[in-house]
Amino acid sequence: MTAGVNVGTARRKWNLRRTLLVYVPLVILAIVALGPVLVLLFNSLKTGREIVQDPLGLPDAPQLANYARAWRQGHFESTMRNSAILTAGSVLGVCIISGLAAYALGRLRVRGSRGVVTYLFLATTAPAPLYVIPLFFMWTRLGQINSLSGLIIIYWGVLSPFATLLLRSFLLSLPTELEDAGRVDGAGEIRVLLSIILPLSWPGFVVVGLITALGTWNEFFFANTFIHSQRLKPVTISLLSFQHQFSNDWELTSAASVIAVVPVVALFLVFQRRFIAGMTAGGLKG
Amino acid sequence: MTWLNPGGLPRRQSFQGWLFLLPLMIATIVVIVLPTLATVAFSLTDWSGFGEVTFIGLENFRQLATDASFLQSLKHAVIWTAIFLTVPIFMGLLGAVLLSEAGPLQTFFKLVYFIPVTLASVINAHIWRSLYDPFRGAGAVLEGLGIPFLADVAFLGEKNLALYAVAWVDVWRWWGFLVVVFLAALQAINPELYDSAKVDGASWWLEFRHVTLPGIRVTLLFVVLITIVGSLNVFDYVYILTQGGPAGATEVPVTLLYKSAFQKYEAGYAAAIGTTMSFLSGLVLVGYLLLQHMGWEE
Amino acid sequence: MKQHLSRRQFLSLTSKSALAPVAGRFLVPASLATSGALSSASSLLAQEATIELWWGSGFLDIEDYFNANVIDPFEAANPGVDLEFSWDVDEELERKIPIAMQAGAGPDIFMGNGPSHIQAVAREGWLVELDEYAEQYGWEEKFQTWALDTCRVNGKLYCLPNSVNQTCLFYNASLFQDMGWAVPTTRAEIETVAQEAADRGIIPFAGGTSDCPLCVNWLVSIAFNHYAGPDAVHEALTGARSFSDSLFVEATELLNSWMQQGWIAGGAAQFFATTFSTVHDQLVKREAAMSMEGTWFIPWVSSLFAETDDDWNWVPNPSLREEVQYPVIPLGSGNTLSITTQSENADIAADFLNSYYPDTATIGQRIADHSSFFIAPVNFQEGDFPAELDGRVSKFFDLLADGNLGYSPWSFWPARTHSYLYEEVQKVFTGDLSPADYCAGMAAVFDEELAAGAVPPVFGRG
Repeated sequence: MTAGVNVGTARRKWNLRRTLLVYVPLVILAIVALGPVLVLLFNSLKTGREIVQDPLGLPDAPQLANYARAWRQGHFESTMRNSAILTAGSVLGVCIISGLAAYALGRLRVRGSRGVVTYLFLATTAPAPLYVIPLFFMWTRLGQINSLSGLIIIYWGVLSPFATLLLRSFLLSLPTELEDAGRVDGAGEIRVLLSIILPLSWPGFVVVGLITALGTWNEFFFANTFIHSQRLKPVTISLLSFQHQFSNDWELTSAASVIAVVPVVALFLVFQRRFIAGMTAGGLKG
Repeated sequence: MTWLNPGGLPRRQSFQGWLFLLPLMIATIVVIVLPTLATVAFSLTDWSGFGEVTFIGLENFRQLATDASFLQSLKHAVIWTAIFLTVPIFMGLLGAVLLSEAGPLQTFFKLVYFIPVTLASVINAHIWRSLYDPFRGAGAVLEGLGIPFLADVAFLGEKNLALYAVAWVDVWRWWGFLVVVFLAALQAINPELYDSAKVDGASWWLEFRHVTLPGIRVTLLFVVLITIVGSLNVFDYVYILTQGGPAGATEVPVTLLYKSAFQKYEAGYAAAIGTTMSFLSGLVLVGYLLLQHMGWEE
Repeated sequence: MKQHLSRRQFLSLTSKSALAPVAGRFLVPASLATSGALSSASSLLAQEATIELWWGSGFLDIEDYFNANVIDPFEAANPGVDLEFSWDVDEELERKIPIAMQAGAGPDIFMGNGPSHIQAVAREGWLVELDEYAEQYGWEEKFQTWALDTCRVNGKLYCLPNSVNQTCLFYNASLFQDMGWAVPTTRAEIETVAQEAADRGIIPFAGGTSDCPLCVNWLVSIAFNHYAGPDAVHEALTGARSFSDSLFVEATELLNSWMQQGWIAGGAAQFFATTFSTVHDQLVKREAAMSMEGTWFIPWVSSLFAETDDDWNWVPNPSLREEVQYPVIPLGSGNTLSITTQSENADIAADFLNSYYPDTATIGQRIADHSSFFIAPVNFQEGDFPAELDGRVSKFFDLLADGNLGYSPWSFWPARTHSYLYEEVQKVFTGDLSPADYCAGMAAVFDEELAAGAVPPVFGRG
């Protein structure tokens, strides 16, 4: 972003070399990233027999019907709706919870904040199999199993710690003059938060929102443990709809995977510039 | 007007701060801490996962200390950590540095690198299982194209290769995320620093060492920390791809925990594994904070 | 046909008697499923109830068929009753049942993962005793005795067998014909075929566990049942013979020698890394001669061969020791159906179970329609299987009647011993554990579980 600017047109040869140096590795990395995804895409257009006989090749005649079958058999109409609800609820809650917490950790002098940060790191990486059984017992007592809202609350608990860490480092990078001025003018902390910090920090919320959305959309373990009713199951469960006891209709699983990933890629495309901007402004700090 | 009082300001902020922290604390305590404490309690019992519970003190931990498969799984977690501290961070940095020079195609490459991040783990695992197949996978396809050196390599079947093969799948979906993280950090570096480096005639490497690296240091440290603690508790890709096999070659602590709890009906023992891993993660974090306190970060 | 008629008569009889206002246990078996019987029974269960059923992944590809033949008829016959199905990957289901039951959030009916799973769950008192229903509905006559016996814990019935399976030997029949190979029934014969195949660069046994690491237990099952033999396995499972016995050590050594020669998948590393797709494609493309798998793959193998010139078939695995009577059929219970004690409508649930197993001719037709989903071990009569049913599917049931029945580990081994069986045998294949130590280790774990009463019921010999 900076180097090319000063190099004059007189040094075209240097430019070419530099371009090659940049683009050859970029393309290699792109092949690494995209190659396996293309395999998935091709397999979604093959017949089951084709996948068995030639798992990595191009499809003979694209089987677009796989998508229709996958949509229907995977019950995507209801799982997409459920995942949308889960994601919206999760993102909204995580943004509020972690926004409040990050404000406290990043902008206020709170006793014990260092300990809280450590706690959040630990919570971020606690493995779910460790605590899922007692959590299930508790959720049953509270009448929260087999309900989307019960699952959303779990996502709040699981995804908020990382989101808070991200937002905190973002807030740490913001200048303090404005809010100090606000305080001197007599604004309470909530006013300061809502009218001064929030407008400044929305790029951070874009980052947190996207990461939370991604985490919720692709979540399988909790969803499959806590949801039993067919009509409440999310998209990740749709991906398992084509399994038999020891085999799998991979053409349908592949098509279902593509269907499931489209909304996420679209979301990233729409927000990627702000996503980067948000990350840029905040940086990540321990 | 208490905040004008030098002594009152921190105290009031501290109280309000804890009010703001309350929702977070409630959510995490209810969802993670209380169930984890219950698990710690179970680690002192011989609970099978259902039925009667008998208190057996530290017996599970005593057994764990001499359990060869647990010690081996710890070793694998350390190897995993080493892989994740190098490969994806290198790829992520490389991708980010190159992207920052990529001009108009930046968005395209960024999206391409990010796509694996968006795929669900079961899908990634399936794609790579096919690619790793010794008879129909990438090795066989390359052999058909005249590149024979990967033919007949059973990536997931050789006990010396399997852990690396599984780790690569996880690296593959993770490094693209780091590209975006590092790219953001790079863009936050003051461009004037690069300009002055140019004026001084600094080489590409010196520029990277003296401008880029210091500029993204805090981000890097954050990533390192998440990587270490995350690697100790790695689970999903290992479980989906190999369930810890072949012959325990990819067993990590959390796959052992999962199998003890749900296949062998030894929930008490599983809880002991989990408790030990939480303790180790805590140790790492405290170590990090001590270093930070000693002025390592600032 | 005689059987069929008498069942209808039985139905109409019970329907009439139930017109009296009786409740609870005497509610009528409304939809004993042949369509003619439905209308007469339809109004008898006019009460509001939702039956929650947690089901394995078996029927997903035939959901429409399942709806039309199982769910819709029952709901039509029982207005007010709502069947709420929730399917799951089998392994996940097994994990969820104990958690849900302890939390008091269990379903009405669930699909269990065979006797050893049922044993553990029943001992917690989570399953409804089905003996009275069995009497009421005539299940003792309907099901094959050995199959129903696998569902008993301490003499009481806790489940119905939903499907059974057995390990078997698939082979490329056209390849065998071209090579002049006879179908092997002894160790000498199978080793000759394997050697000749290997000499020609053909993999003797295609195999792979990349999709299912624990499916290595198929091979151990074959070694134990076909070398040590069902009698020895029965003795071991009842504590009369140790798993460290030389018969099991020799069985493991034989299996391992095949693996080390590269006869299975080309070697241990390839075996661990090969997917099921590849295994079957190798069979189709003559890259492999045989594969030691199980009857669950019959539909898939059949469909892959369908568009080729080659033909396939399957047989029981050969008896690998002279003293073991051929053919050995190692039985496995694919899955079972049980009612939980948390069901508030156990009677309706039992009624559904009964309707799920209609007359044997209808079951025969279902097997012909979709052989993957309904391999119920009922007492079939002559003519129950429609003419269009592939003989390679119905052969399964003929063998059940005549074979020397053996024991599949996933059904008859207690949980920890089973886990040991498939985890540790991988170390035998990688050379990290000797067959003798492997068997000694299995004996040690098994003895603990035997002492703890965790061994599932084992059907007897003879």
